[in-house]
Amino acid sequence: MSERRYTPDSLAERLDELLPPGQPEQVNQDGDPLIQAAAWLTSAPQPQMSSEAMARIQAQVIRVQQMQRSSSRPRFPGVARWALAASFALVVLFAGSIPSSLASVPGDFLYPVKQAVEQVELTFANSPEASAVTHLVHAERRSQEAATLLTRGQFNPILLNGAIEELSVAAQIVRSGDNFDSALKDDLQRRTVIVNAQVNTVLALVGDETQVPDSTVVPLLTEIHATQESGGLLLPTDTPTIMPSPTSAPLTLMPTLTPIPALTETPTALIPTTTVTPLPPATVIASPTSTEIATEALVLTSTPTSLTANLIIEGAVEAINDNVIVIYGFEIELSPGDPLLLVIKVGDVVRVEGNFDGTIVIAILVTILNVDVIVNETGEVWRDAGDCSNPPPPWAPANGWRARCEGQQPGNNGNNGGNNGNNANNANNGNNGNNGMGMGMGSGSGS
Amino acid sequence: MNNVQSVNIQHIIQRAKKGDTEAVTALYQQYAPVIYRYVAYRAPSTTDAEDLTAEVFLKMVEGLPAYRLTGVPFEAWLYRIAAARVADFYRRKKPISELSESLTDSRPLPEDALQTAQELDNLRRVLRQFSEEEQNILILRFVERKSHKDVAEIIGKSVTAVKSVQHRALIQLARLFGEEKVRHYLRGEHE
Repeated sequence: MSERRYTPDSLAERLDELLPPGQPEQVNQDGDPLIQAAAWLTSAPQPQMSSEAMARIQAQVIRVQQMQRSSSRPRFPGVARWALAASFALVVLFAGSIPSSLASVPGDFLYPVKQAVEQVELTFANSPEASAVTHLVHAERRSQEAATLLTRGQFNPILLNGAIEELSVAAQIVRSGDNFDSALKDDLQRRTVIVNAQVNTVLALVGDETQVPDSTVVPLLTEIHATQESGGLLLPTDTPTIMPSPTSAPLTLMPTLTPIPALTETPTALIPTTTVTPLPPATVIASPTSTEIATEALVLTSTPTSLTANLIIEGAVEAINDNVIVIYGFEIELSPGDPLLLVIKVGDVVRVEGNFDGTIVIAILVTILNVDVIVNETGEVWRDAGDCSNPPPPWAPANGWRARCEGQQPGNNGNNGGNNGNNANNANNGNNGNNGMGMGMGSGSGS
Repeated sequence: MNNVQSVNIQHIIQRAKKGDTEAVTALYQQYAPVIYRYVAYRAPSTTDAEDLTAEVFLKMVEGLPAYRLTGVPFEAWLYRIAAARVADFYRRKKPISELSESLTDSRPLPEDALQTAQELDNLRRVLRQFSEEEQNILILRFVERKSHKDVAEIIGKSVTAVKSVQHRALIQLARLFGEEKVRHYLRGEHE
């Protein structure tokens, strides 16, 4: 009897051989009733919508879409949100006295007034602290202006260069000061990270939002990137950089942190590097420029390409809000059902491969780098507590824990792999098909 | 296959999210036939299938601004909307009558279309004996020829669960094959 002969797995395997997915022309049978039943289904009629119905529904859909578009408030793209955030910071800084000219951008009537005001600001900045803050504020304005222009489909490379130069001057002032207030220094560093990220975001989106060719963007990108990498800015040594590829200018946020080989009791120890390793072109989602889009037919493949990560980011988790974690100010959304959410903590150093849509990063693959975390195929998760207080379940390799705690805990199975466990969370290589529709990612495994 | 691989679906979706009518049209034209086919296996009539297809794409338009690109194919999102629409349809409707497609639909059908409609009726009647989840898996796996992984993504279950339900459903289908009344439905194929 076939029901006894086949297990769900063996039946699935046999079906894949005889009725391979994606190949409807291939229908093979072996006489087994279960295979016969499946084969009968493959011969089902293929109902097709009439052209009249197709056109009628299309008209209905487009009518509703246009009504929705006209009735909805303008949505701020991701860059505009950055600009709004920066504007808010400026308003706080100059509460009650900010002239309207400060909101202007190059080309506006009031922009020369803004430039004059900035000269005055620099003149009155009569201490290193005030001077550093002023240069940083100017950097924020330049990047905000660039972002604002981008939302209008314009690109002004001078603004991005100006923002980086202002950041560089601010950093020089801070580093040359003997008694610079540490709290202020931290604040300036945090704001430098934000401006730097905004500059990178603008650069990454130029190809999508404007007609500017790569030949203009790439040299600028190279120059700015060199400054970012030179250590001349007030950036944490492990701050990521965005490095669009020279050919298609996609958003590629690059890592990197290199875990120290031996796991210690202070698992956050990492060696930052400044290496920038662009993703291989084949794994980068092509981001055709507006020009390319305009010349391509708007026809899709019948089997959409699986989503591939267009961004990799590594860094410490700064905050966790439900299924959203924050790294370097970037919001990264994990699947609400991701088992990692049960154990991830602020301060964990994680590697995220995902997709950045200009607003939020949708995680595809999340790996905790500095702590041994293991997720099995059924979604159970174990995290090394750093001491011997939380013995691993039998299914968890947990070589780091076993090496460290063997003989100290009852029930230890003596499986001393001698591994430091730094990357043991990659042990979860099973599928996680429980992803909600809003997400598609795994826990150290991907989707 | 057209040489359109270079056009990234994500860009079409992004444009559709921003209200680009051309992009919405492209998504509709690409996916409407697939979604209609899926719905047609589960809806009691062609008219209902068309109405449900329209509902799916209206929901798509409604949901696009909030849609986020994920590792799950866009098609899977549409299948999920479709599955929800079909389930809602049956919750709203009275129990399905046993009238055939040709009787429930008022429109006249040519001979070959009538035969297709009757075969479709047969399939629907067989499928109706399965749970909603089993129906989804049987249709997606064997009619649409999706992989276990794709089906798992669409229905939001693990591959293991898909294999398990598939195993159970095929055993039930094989048993139905042995029953006289089902032989009637499956005429010409396994009699």
